Amino acid sequence: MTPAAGAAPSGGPAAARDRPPAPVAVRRRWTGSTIGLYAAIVAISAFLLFPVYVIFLMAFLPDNDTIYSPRPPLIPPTFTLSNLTQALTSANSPFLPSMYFSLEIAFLVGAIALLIGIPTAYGLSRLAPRLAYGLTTVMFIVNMLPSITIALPISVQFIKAGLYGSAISIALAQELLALPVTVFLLVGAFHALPPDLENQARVDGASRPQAIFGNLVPLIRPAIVASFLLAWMLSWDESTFALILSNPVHSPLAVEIFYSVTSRGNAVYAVAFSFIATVPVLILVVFLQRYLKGEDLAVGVRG
Amino acid sequence: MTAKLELFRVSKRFGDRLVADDVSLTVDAGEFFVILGPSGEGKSTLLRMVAGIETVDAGLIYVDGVDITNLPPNKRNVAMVFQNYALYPNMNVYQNIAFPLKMQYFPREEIEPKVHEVAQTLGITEILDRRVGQISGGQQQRVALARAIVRNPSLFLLDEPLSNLDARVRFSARAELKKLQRDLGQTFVFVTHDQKEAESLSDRTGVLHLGRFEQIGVFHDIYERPVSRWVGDFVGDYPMNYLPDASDGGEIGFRTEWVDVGAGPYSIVVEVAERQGELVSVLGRDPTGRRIFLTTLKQPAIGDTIRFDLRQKLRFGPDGARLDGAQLPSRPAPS
Amino acid sequence: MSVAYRGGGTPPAPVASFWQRHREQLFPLLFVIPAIVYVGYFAFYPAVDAVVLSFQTPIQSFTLFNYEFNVNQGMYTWISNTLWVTLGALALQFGLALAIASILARQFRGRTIFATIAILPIGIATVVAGYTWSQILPGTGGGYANSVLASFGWAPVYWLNTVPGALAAVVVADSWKNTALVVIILVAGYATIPKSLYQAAAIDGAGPLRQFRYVTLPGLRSFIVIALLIRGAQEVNIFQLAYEMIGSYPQLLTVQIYELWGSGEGIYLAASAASVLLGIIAIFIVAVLALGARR
Ligand SMILES: Nc1ncnc2c1ncn2[C@@H]1O[C@H](COP(=O)(O)OP(=O)(O)O)[C@@H](O)[C@H]1O
Ligand SMILES: [Mg+2]
Repeated sequence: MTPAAGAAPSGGPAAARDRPPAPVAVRRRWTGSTIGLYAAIVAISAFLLFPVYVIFLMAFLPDNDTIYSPRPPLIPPTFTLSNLTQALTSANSPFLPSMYFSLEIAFLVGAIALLIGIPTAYGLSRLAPRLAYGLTTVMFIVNMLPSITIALPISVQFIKAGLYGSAISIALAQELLALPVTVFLLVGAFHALPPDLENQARVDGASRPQAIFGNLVPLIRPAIVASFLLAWMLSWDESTFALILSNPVHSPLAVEIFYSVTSRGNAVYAVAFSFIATVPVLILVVFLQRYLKGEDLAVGVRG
Repeated sequence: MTAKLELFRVSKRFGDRLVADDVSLTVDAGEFFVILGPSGEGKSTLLRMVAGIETVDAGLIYVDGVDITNLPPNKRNVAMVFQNYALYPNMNVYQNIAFPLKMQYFPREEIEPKVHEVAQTLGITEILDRRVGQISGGQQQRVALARAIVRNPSLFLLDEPLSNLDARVRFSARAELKKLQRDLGQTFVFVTHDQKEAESLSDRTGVLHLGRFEQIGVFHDIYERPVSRWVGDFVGDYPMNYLPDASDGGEIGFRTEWVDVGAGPYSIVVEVAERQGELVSVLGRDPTGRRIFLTTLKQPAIGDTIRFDLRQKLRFGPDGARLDGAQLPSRPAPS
Repeated sequence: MSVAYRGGGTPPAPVASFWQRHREQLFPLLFVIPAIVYVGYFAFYPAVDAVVLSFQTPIQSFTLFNYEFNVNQGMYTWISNTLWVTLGALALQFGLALAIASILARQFRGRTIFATIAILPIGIATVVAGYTWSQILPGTGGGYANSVLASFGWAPVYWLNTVPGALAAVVVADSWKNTALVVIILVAGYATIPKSLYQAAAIDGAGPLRQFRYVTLPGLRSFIVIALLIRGAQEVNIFQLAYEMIGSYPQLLTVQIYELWGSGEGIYLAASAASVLLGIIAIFIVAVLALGARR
């Protein structure tokens, strides 16, 4: 660390005070362990980034240079937007309608996750610890049940109920994956609140629901936003329930892409479209990163 | 409005721990009653049952002769100040104080003058539009009090409201709290583990032990005539001193200030002597080996023998109960 | 005096309904009921239903036919392939995730960028990841991995030509997609380990490896158990990603369930394979919970 950084007066100009402390690991001299660290970082990053680059190539190169090439080039010889324009504009392109369908389902999953998740998380945070632990374990088990096993009987039920293929039916099934995660996050948030806040509101004249929804819920808004987005993303990515519970003529995006690359349709168009559809999700992931570390998860993990 | 609080044979159990054991108590209208006891004795639980945020297992609770045992907290018109003040962090000071009125659907025109009036009383008018995170501990305590006062409740419950303040503020806050209660003329039930607070605030004090009031009375009486060794040890700056009572196998208990040093039937050998201001604190052992704590004017040397007499003394039986006319609450024999 | 009660004997019980006496405990219970009803109806009832169906055919109400049929079709291989993929993926993911989390626990220039790269695959849909990896590691001797090898002048590899090779390809692709989830959990765990423990260990003469062994691993233990639970169950469920890469050979349980379900044989054969899948996960859950309870 330079002496200047250490000697910056605490009352100095804002720019000096806000300057982050110099990272300790960065030195002039490259020690063996620093080289090792950066070598590991480069290797891991290459492994993680390479497929993203391949997606980019498949989306913006003619298919003769990608999936139909016996030795696909790593450096793009040309670019084309035709995959994308075909995916978006061709008259019978299924991708836009299926994306709207996916959006509808994902918002439903997010909404139901909050509708059931907030009361459940509140209840778990107030129940006797042993009972709460038991119920948390049940939620965990639900999260682990094999989707395809659950999906088979549910599909029969939905067909009987005339709900088969509807957004709400797919959302209700995907909720099995989203709800436990939502509940863990929100239980952590409720636990982090001072316990007497609710009691104070009640002696101040609030009924218990008023105290919960008027006083506590506004205080856990960040966790609520995070859970909604997380549930939303789980649904966006989910494809097993989506595959088995959706009607092949009108299916969510993940299923449409699955059909496109395995049986019908055009794989390259699918990749091009999904590349565009992925960008907002990637932004969301980077945004969510802030929520996906700290104490909330730790508390949820301890159950 | 000021009200009388009555508890009749209230019991509460958490698992196999009996936190309130058949507790009965009457707090008169306008009285400042302090519930005193070490932590974990169930003081807060008792208060929370009166507030309605815990239910009772058995027994009845009356406020002004009305049975409130089964009412939810928002129907009781009882105000409570919690140890950490539980200010609503998403509201500013004004909104915090106005909250109880909003819950009673007062119109805005009536809320505003009321909030300003209590803010005036407690001297927090200037901070009304601050966020609660931006004010000091002493100010937080006033806001919590203001929020309790503004709705004109029949009863005030305060759970160790001074324990989060630093020592300097605590002293003045104590005096102000007492004055506030006098001016309001309201019934206060105040929980603390600090016997200094009980001494300076209370009209009467109840000492809670093993889920029961071991002794209820004016603090000075409890100090001078504790009903048991346990109360004697807990109330006061120092535990009481004890000497064997040759006449009946019990014990003689006395406080340091009841000792006349110089001559008398009792003696100790000095082990530690430390000057503190005008007096010297002396720790020694009597001939039977018991530790005795005294104060003297002159500095004794280690190993000196000090003789003393007692101006006043209490006699305790082998079970720890005081023999001379005191009455311990009856307890079922342990089974 | 409005209070009549003065006598001895048993204390008066409050004249109150069951709700009034227990409202403080019952109220939060009320709040979890919707979730209990929901998971009961949408998770546990279908799970039981699948098992019931697995013992039925359109004309029989109890039979072992579905199981016998699937065993004759090679169900033991489906199971062992699934378990190999699961074990391989867990090993690769946890190795990689521990490395990434250890790196992220340090301060260095570019840490934010690396953290973003590390969780990037979460944003790529599983179905897209599966197809992409099918283009990186195809069975044809072409594909992007071979393009990389060729740029070093190496001969192309037929990645999927052997069963272990195909399963390993699935393991690599799946780990690419899912390591980030383990990283997130382990980073949360790292945050709970007091830095002073490392200083103390360093003063006691422990090098980086022994610090990892005696400080990091014990500190992460419960987080590793949780991550194992979550990921292990999901690995057994691996489906579309594998299907896009290797199709229905080598066979995995989930892919076989899907094929049976779509084969017109009705839901019964699929239900028997699905019940086996459920059984594997049940054993897994019980084992991990028992391990977790023992600590
Ligand atoms: N909701 C509860 N569940 C179980 N035990 C409790 C609960 N609340 C308090 N206790 C236990 O009851 C005893 C008395 O607690 P409390 O009333 O807070 O004591 P005090 O206020 O005198 O310190 C403590 O041992 C505490 O652990
Ligand atoms: Mg307390």
